[in-house]
Amino acid sequence: MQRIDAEAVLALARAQQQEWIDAAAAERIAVGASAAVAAVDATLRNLGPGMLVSDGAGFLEMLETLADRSA
Amino acid sequence: MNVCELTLVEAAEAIRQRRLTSRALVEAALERIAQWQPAINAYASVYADAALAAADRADAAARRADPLGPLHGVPLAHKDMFFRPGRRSSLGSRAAPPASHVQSAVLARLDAAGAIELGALNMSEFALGPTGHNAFLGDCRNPWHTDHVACGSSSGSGAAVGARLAWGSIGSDTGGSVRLPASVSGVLGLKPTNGRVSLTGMMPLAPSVDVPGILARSARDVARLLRVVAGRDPTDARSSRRPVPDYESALADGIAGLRVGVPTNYFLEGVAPDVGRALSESLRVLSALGAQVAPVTIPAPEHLTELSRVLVYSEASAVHGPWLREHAADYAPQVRMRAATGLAIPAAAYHQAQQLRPLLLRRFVEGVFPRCDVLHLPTLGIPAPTLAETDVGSAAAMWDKIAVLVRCTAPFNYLGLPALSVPCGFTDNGLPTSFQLVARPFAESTLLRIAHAFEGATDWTRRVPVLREPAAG
Repeated sequence: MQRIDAEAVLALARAQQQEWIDAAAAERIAVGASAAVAAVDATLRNLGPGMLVSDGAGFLEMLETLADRSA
Repeated sequence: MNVCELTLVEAAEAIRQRRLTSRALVEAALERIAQWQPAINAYASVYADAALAAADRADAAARRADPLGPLHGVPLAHKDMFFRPGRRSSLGSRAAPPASHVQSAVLARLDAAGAIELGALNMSEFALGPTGHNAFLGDCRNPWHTDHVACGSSSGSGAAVGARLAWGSIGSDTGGSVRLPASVSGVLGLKPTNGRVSLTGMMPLAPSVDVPGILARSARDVARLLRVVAGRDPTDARSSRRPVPDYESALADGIAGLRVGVPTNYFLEGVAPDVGRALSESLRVLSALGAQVAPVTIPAPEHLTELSRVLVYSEASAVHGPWLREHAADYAPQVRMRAATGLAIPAAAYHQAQQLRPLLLRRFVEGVFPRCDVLHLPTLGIPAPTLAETDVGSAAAMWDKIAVLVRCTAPFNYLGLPALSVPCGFTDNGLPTSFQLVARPFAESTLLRIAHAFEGATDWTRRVPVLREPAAG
């Protein structure tokens, strides 16, 4: 599981010159970012072992393909 | 008859048949805005003189029997994030950049259809927030009870259409920002399929997830507006080339035999009893109209909202990063924090969320839609909360409050599917509630057919809020 803590957020903020991000803001950002990234990890785990291999379809192309398939 | 209570299509037909002038509509709307604005703060700007002048031109064209567009002379108002060259949109923020040089494709299509622009509407700052709080423009309040939220981010759109201060509105929906305000203000809210409506000239929040949406008072109104704004735009490579159907004609097809799927997992968990009663009653009505209601298990819904957040926050940080660096103090604390959350999301996680999107979409569509034509679920599983209950700023409770509000809407932003919020009653606190319909990609016609049939059997969309002053203090 990837871990994003406030210390890492503060370091990233400094690297990106977002000087307004203080310890309290970094704590909140870490919570939001961690939850989001955890969902990616969980979804990848549910897919099973192996590399993430895309079938190459763009998102709009997939929407259109699925619309045609069910029409 | 109060002309403000006509639907958009009724108003358009009255103008076309010269039973009503556009000026009469604009004047009535301006008078009503003057009465309601102090209580609900739905408008960011009112273009009174320009709207009256446009109305006079529209009336002159009708007198000359010129060809009239499908929205000829009808006053609309939109979320203040659709650009016109030289006009500065507030974007709901003290930190809004100078006027854009880009013309909104949606506004251009509405202009060509003859619509009149009454003003620009309040919104959550930079469209980042589902409650409708706004420290810069002032909070937008719910027209049914001004202590309660109008939801967001298209807060002014829901409140204005609900209070009959405009005959329709274009908002934007990145996590529920059209459907939530529509739901709590008692109007319909459509999030079209991603790619159905051009993004050109609309303020970006998260461009791969954003979609312009429609708030209006009837399914026919939504159908007419969608026909006007939908379709391929050569200036937006993300727009679909699929032909645009005649959504209004399809309304007459009825719903006999249509299969309405009710999720057995995730979406109904934690639904408040009064919302649940309204949802159940709406299913009974749909069943009586000939729909076949059946339970459907949704494949892997639990991570879709957070996957959506990976995209939204990463892209929002890309959009706002340089501006935030210079103007952070001009953003509200919650907004700048959410706009910066993507700075801490690894690029690999963003890429994975994008790569997973078509895969999970295919699984969802192939898992759900062979078993039903539409899904029926809540838009918002709780009664509309008060402004005070949701005024958490950037405190630790922020993420939880947001998660409750977007639980049933954000998954369909990630999946890009069309979704329509339809009023279906009132909760115990006297606020409107809705059901949400979700269909296959580009099946907006099916959503609108069901909403139209439901409207014909109920009167929820015809109910009008009564002006009350906000509570003191």
